[in-house]
Amino acid sequence: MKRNEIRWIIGIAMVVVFSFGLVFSGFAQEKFGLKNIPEIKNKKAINMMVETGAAWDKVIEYIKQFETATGVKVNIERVASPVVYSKENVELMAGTGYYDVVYVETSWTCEWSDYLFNLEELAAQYDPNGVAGFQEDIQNISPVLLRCGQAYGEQKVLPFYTYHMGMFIRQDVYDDPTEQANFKAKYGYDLKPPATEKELYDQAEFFTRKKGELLKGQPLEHDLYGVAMMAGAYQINDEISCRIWGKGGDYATVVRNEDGSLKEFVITAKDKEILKEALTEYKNLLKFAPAGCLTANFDFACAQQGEGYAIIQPHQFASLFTWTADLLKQHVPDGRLGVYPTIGGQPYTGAWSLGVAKASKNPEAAYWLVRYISSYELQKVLMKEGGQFSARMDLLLDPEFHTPETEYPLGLTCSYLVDVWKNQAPYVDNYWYFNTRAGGKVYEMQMNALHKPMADQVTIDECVQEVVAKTIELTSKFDTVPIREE
Amino acid sequence: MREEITYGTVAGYGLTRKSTIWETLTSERYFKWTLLIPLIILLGIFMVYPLLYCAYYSFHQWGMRGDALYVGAQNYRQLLNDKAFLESLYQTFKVLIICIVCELLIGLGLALLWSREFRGENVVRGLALLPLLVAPLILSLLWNFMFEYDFGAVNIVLQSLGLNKIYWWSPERALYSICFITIWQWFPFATFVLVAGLRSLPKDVFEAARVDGASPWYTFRRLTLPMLSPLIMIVVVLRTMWLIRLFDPLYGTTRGGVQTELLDWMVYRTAFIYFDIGYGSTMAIFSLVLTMAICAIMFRILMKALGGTK
Amino acid sequence: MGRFGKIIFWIITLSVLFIIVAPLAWIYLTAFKSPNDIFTTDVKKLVFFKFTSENFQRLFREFPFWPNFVNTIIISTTSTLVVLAISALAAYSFARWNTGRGHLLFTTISTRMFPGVVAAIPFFVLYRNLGLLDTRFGLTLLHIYFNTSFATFLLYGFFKEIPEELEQAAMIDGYSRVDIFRKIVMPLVRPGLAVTAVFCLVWSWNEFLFSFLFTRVAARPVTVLISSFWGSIEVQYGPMAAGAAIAILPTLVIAWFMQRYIIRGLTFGAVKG
Repeated sequence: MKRNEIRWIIGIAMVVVFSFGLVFSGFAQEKFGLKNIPEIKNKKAINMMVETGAAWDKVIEYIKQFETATGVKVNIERVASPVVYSKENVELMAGTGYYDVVYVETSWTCEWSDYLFNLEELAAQYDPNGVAGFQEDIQNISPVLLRCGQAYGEQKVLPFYTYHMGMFIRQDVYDDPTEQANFKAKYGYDLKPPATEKELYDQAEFFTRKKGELLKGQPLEHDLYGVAMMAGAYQINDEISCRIWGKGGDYATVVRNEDGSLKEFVITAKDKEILKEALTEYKNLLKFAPAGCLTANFDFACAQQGEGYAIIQPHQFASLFTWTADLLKQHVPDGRLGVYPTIGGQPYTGAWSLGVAKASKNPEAAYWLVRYISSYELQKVLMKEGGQFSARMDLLLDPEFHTPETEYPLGLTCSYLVDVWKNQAPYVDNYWYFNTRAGGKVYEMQMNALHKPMADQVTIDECVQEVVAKTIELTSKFDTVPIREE
Repeated sequence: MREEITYGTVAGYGLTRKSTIWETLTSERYFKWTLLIPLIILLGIFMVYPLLYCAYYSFHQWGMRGDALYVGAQNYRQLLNDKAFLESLYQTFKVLIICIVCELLIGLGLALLWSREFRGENVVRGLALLPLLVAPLILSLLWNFMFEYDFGAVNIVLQSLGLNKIYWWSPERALYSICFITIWQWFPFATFVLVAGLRSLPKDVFEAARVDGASPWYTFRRLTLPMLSPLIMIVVVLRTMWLIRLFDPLYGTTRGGVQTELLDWMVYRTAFIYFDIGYGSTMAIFSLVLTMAICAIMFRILMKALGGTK
Repeated sequence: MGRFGKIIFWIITLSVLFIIVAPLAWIYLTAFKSPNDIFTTDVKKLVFFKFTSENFQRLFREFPFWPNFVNTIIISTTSTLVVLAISALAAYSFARWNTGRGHLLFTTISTRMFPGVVAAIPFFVLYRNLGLLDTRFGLTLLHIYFNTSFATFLLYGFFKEIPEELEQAAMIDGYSRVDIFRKIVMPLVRPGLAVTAVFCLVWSWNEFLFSFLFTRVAARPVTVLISSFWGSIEVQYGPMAAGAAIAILPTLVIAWFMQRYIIRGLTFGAVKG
């Protein structure tokens, strides 16, 4: 080849490569955001209800930008969190069509599925990129939480923030050579985050000490407890869910037809056995927990660990990791927390999510608002300013959260969430909560029923009987899928 | 007021005119009923309608979607066998008795203390009225925090005095915490009724007793109490009526958990959390009948007592 | 009462007052505290802390506090006036003629014996059909409904106090029934009306359940706003206390000035004085 020709070829090749590079880098950074919302033809104001909390306090300010950019007014009603369900349910069932964007806890998705749009339908209708564009954006969201937000195969809601659970341990204590040596001497295996129930029990026992005994070589100024748990009638059922799912059981087994549709729910003998086992083990563990745990909600349990009174929280909402770590820093300057999967690797999961009501008078604007709130840019606001954890995996892996300053405690939790979602994804489809219309009601019932044996109001056998009986009763009343006990 | 005047005949009496509508309504015979027209309209719309609605649905099973399924008296049978419901009735009566007894004792004690006029009475009275006037919901949220284990003011004060922190919302103690909140809000009611009662008792009877050398205890037992009994009954009847419906303190605190599920809370839960309208209606009808029965009996006793001493 | 007796008297009285006032004072103190001072275990911080007005600022800036407050005022006063009208007429009828022989009166009072929560559902459906949801008019109607029973009962006691002879004398003088009611009886029962008005106003002001269920944004009263600070992770006590501090102020003021009337009302005129 002549020299000139070679130069031409190299030049053209460089241009081609360069252009490809531009195009690809453009694609790689192109994330759906406010600027991508096309003009909304329907300018009717839309209404939504949100719960109290710092998360929404911050996000609401950005919703104002949405209003300016699209010209659609958004009326926001702020409501106490415990009553979101009642208020929205009344409106949905009475068919008032008042709320355009609906705030949904994932366990209510099936129940409200009749009232909510399939988001892909709206994407097909209003999104210039169609369903493909929609899918491209949401594929970055945790597959676990996406599935929780589906009902009967349709994507009804997108997650706003997640309360996936994990196990919190005092990493500094676990890394301490004195403790490691003592543990190995007493129990015969290395001290590391518990992976089985026996290990958890051993370690809880090991770390329950009286004032004056040593921790990390220093005498304790107060009693120390191995665990802190939420045995009160508030979130205990979430802790039990971690346990039974981790053992391969569920509150009811989902049985499908050949085409994948739901056939029936069966509370098998194995399910009952697993529930009994989980309750017994939970109760046994309580002896290594402070007395207040019997009526505790998450704030108490986290405060116990944060103030240095407890070493392990076997199941806690991962979103509270940063708060507990901050508390710990104030009370125990050299304390550090670590977060790991709960025993069995299938922690309780779910997310507060957003959907569009079928009775809405402006589904177009509602759809775009939901897309905007679950977009990368707004979820980033949620995480940085609102203090909650997004369900977007691309966001959790954002380098900003993994710098040396932010890695602990924020980045650590992000990595944990992404990992546990990848591992848990195959199982979520069959979690009973997310396949039944009675999910929300049974959840409410469980809050009290599962607490009773811990407070010695009933025996564990009676509790299992009651839970089974009431589950069947509620599901028969509120769902169309038959349920039976084996 | 003279509008149309029509003339008619009444046999034997010559011409009389037919009354105008207004005159009929305000005539001796009908006036008392005319006065009731607005009330009857109000009751008709607002009371009869939900009553019929609930009575209807109490015989059905309905979750607010789809059709209502007729089930006859099944809901009622289920109710009578419902352990949780019976438990809530028991808890409600427990609260009822504890609160009324405490309110009466405290009220009577304070009434005796304040039975005579004293300096600064206006200030004391004004302040003592406050709990009655603050929104029950606000008080509920307020006390929830005051009784909080770690950050509640009560425990902080206890701790600073060197005492142990108390878990106010434990399963054993929560019901009494609820009673405390209720008594805190309502004891001024009993107090003021009884103060007014004490102050209006005829002085000469007590003077005579003192002259006769009766001991204070005797005076109290044989004279004061019987004369106060109609007022005590009023307090008991009204408080009973309101306490059976006790709801607000639960809303901001235990929300029916830790063994504090009272009657109205159970109804709320069935109707507004489970949206089980059929069963909820059944509970509502039941508790209405129950309350009416209790109050009717007490009302009758009260009316007799009032009629007797007037 | 000797010296000793007086000391005991004041010890008890002051203790009682402390128990009553302390929690309410807490509201006013907390309204001016920053979140760190609220969630602290330091006992000094109960009373000594750095004053901040951020709770109030936040309340006014981020939430529709004043519109809600106005709603409360409108709904309470309107419903009170209507209740007075309806109850006064009815109570007079019951008191003078024992209309319905006590059964109707009992029925009126028993409206309060029905669990309010369950009445809410049929009303909700009805209101939806009539388009009354989230309207001040709709909520006012509900408040009228539930205050009428107690108002009727109260006024019944007051009307019964008025001697029949007065009315009979007037009738002999040729007054019509309507005139007797308007010109003779009503003026005499004014203190009773004042008392009833105070109670109805206060109860409507403080009402929560129906206000919560039947309003969303437009007609929302201030009690619902205050309750909305209750979150799933934390209760935002700062703004809640700030809202409560302002919201209960009118009732406190009324209490102070209308003490005598309120106490009279509490004794339903069943006791003279």
